[in-house]
Amino acid sequence: MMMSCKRATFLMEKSNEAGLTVWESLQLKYHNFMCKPCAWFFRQSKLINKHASRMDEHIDAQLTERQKLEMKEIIERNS
Amino acid sequence: MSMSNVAAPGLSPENWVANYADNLFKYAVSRVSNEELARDIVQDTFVSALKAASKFQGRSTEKTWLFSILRNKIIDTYRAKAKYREVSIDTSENSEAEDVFFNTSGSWKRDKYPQDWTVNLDSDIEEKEFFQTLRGCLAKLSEKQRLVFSMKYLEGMDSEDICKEMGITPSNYWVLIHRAKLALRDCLETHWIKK
Repeated sequence: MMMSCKRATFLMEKSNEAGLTVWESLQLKYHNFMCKPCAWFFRQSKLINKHASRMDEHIDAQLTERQKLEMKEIIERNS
Repeated sequence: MSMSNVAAPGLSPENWVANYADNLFKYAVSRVSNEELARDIVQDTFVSALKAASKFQGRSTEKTWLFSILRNKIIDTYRAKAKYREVSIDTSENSEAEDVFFNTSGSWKRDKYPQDWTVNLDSDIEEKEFFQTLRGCLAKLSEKQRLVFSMKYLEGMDSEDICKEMGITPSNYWVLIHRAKLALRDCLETHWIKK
């Protein structure tokens, strides 16, 4: 019997680290073969994993010159 | 008082602000989503680095070393949040957050069917929008889900360490990270793809 989508997406997450049993891994492959939405989910989930660590790119927030000067002073005081 | 007090070879604290402050700050902002706190963390990183300067052995670059100190400080804030929120969040997490996405037999609910899309970050504008949306979606997760997701996918920690930091069991962890991923992917689909 095919596992549910809820179970399949759970195992996808688990497969990133814990490793699945051979049986779980086969079941998951079969599920994704039969179920397009879950296959898409898996692909998109991997994209999220890949890009998440680049979260600090394209940030508009900036330190002002004054704040940087304060930091410099603190470094000098503690040196 | 003078800079030359820091004797560690390979370190030049007098240039830290000019060389690294901006990048350290952006990294911190993306993790704690609060500029004031991010500023404090960066400042704190510099002070801790000075104190530990004698232990710097030049095995990594100055930049990598400063970033690892920053990262530890950020994980400290995650841990503090996890402790502070423990009780209140545990109860709210008990309700089945997956029910939003799946019906009782565990199939996708009709309005939650994942759609077919991918991420093509072809232009700077697209990239910027994508990361803005991703940050916005991360901010919408429950605090515990966000902490777990951040430790795993932003800081690259393994689940064993995350369980230790958060004071949760492995099975709690897998439930939380699964829910975080379901919510995050759904939010991206709604706000970035179908805009």
